[in-house]
Amino acid sequence: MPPEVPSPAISTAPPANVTWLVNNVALSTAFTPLDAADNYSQAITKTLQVQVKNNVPAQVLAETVTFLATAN
Amino acid sequence: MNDSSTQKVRVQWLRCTCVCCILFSASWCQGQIGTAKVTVSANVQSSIGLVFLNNAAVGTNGFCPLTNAGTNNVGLDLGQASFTTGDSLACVQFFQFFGFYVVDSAFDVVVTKANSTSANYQLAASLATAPPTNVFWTINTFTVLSTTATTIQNNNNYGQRVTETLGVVVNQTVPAQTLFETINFLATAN
Repeated sequence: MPPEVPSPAISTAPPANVTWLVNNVALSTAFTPLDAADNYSQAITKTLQVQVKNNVPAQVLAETVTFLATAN
Repeated sequence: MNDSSTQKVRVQWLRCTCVCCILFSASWCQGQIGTAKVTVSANVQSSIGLVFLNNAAVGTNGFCPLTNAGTNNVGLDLGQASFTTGDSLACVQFFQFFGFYVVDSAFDVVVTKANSTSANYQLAASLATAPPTNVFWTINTFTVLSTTATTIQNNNNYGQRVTETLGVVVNQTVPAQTLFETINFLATAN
């Protein structure tokens, strides 16, 4: 069974000094490869993070993160 | 061409076609994609924090060291004092007036803000319990504290040290005893 390549991307650019990450990898509106060769049918744990600087005004941060799996 | 050779050609052609199909389908599978979405939200809330620090002059008269300095929960030992003999600690400032004696020591307060547009803050203090008769806890000499919050400063700047002098005023008629007090400092964003 061939492996896959998961790549997340955020739908909109976050406010200044806010960064969305998966497993400490910063996300952008372009797909960012995370793993090169994951196995099909196996659960993979990913940690979604948001990094906020202390000068960011109080607000609600909303984001849609799209994950793309590409067959190798 | 006889029948057997024609059949052989057909079989070979069929094999060739099958191999081509397998190769085509394998290459067609490569690069297939699947997508999924996670919609997530987070609430950024404003906050302020307060810590107590030793004053730069710590160790000199009027500036005793805090225990646990750099946190929001510190201790301050003002030693043993009497009207006639003064205080046991050199770092404690001691003086007498009109039948009372005062022991005091100064330390710094730093309030920081995060994710806030607040320009400055108000600082207040209160006692956890009422002191014995003729004992008064003070801030900056002239502000007497009680169990309700008393404003000390109205417009302090974030991130800057503010020196506060905590004192206790004791009448000479007060019996010998240990004076113990918890003083709560409250910073409120303006």
